[in-house]
Amino acid sequence: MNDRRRVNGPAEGTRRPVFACHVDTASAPTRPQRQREPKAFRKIALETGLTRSASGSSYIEVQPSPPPASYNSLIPHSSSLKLACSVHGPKPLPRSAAFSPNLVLTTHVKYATFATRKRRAHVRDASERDLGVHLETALRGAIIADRWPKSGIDVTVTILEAEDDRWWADAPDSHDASWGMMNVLAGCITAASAALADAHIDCLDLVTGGMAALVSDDENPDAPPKLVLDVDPSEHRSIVAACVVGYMPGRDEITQLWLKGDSSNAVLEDGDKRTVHEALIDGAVTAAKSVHAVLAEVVRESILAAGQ
Amino acid sequence: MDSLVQNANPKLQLTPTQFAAIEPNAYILSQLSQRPSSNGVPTRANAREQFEFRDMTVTVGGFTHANGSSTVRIGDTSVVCGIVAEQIYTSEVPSWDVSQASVSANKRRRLASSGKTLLDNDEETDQAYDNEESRHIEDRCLLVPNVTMNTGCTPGYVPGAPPSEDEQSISNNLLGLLRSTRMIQAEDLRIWYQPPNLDAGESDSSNETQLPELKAFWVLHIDIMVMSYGGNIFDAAWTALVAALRHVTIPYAWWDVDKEIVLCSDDASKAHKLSLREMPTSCWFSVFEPQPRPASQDEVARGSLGDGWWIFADPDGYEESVCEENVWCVVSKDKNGKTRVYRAQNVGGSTVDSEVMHNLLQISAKKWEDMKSIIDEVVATGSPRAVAWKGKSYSA
Repeated sequence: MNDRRRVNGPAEGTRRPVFACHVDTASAPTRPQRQREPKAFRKIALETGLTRSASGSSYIEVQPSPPPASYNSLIPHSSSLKLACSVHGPKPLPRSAAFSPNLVLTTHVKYATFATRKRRAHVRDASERDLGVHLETALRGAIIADRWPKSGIDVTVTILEAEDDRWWADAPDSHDASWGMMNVLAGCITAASAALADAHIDCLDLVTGGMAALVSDDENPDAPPKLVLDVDPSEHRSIVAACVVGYMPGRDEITQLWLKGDSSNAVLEDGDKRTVHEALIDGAVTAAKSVHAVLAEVVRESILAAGQ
Repeated sequence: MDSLVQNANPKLQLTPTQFAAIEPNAYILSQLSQRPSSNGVPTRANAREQFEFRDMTVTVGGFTHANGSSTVRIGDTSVVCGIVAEQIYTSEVPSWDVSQASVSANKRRRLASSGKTLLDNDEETDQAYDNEESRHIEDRCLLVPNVTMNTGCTPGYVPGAPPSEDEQSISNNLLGLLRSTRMIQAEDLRIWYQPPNLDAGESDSSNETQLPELKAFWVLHIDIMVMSYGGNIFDAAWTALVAALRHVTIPYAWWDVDKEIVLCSDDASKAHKLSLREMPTSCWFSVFEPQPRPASQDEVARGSLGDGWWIFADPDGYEESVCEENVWCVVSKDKNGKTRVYRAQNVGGSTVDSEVMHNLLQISAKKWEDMKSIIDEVVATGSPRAVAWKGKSYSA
């Protein structure tokens, strides 16, 4: 099954190192706690124009939550988002392609092999294709596609470091879904939007990704889950449901919506009359609005810098 | 350049960018013959001198899940390298034979009894041991370098496509160079188990201590991603690889007899760095030949080498697209300041003669000194911090 076009490792395959503290429960570390307010964000660094060979590009980085003071372990304490996006086009479609009156958008999302705790494969897997489709949906609603007939545009996102799905010391099945993907998608949407602006592609608005989740940190399973924005999954005991939106604040329009988790039985805190879905979507939109402020500032700066 | 355009057609006016795109060869030639720098040396289309290298920024660290990582930016080219260490057990290797580890086990015991470690007796050359070193690394494929260019860095490489010819060639060259330079010592990648001496109480002769058993190897997955394409990918990839190797931290690992697995300690103070034997530097040069070759002696005289062709150090993407002949040198210097040549290769033409090759090797050796100081500095700073190097011109 080895791909002869790559340099392959040992034919027997390799194993991840097992750390003694995983096996030995006596010296188990403590779970990190969310230090921020439920509606506070981690710091975001966003930059455009780093890939000079592309029409437009951007790089986004989220500051990881700080480790405890005496943390001196080789196991990374936290993981944070680092991703690069590049845009090529608009360019003519290949001769073999059928006529298209609109701009043909293609999106690719790929994890670097060293992006997560478990090494990723070189070939795209299902979750990467899934992210690509979600990103395409989010951008399609924002791009004014009929301005470029017979043209194509490629959006490629490389994830250099991804968010954790769960706390690293948790048993593998303690969180049921890959929650890290939700944050990654929100980051992809924001980065792609910045890169599109950098490539001067006409859009209705700067579409922004926002993420919110219902988390339960309480020992008591009956306690109502809390709504938090910009969630680092490793900081929470369990995540009930999460939501990502691609949102355009200027038009108050959602181009992409992704809800994950079982929220049907969840009950919000007292006095909240909304359904759980509404609360989640509202939360994600609030998150997107906050990120939009950063995005708009970065795009404005890059345009001013280019004008000088 | 204006005169060239007007000669062709007095009515047609092209801007320099259009001219550069339509006739790259003629454009580069016109720049070389019309833009001598202050000291009379012709300058290239990118305003560099012939043997001038671009600015470079090297950063190590920054990627949490890699054992070692680096980012290198050379002009418009930028690459990211991440090294992940995983393990392979000797019990899982079908052809593994206990005697295969005997030489190094003997040596290990000898060193242990003399109170030295394996890593600081660089001078002691044991031929059998050296052969076994490289055989372990090669037979077990302990080093796995791969280059990925389909990150959207350039439209030529389609994302999601299998590795292109260029990627395959760079990956294989990296692997070949890692093996032939023997920069990584196999001992750094071995995980030993010392069986307890059960009858130690009865006989106290130290000669009867059990031989250590080789239980597992570390495998280094070295993945290099080209984030921005601006020519001279190999130099950037190699620099990133060397910087990341210097940054690699390998946890302390031991064989747990009860569980029959290798366990690692997460204690950073017990972990070790790789002790690299060498730190070779790669230098890529392109040979520019005007098409058609200049006819008049006057034009020929302007070429610094007097032959009507030029060599560009550290070519950018535009120059690479025009030049067919490339010279590739990989050199290093040993402790006595003697230059070692690992690669001296000329591909795509036969313009370069032995004398020019010699000059290029000398330039590469000078570059090596700068590269060494940059990488030493960036590794010493520890926390992710970029070290910038201002591009400069060399002479043989």
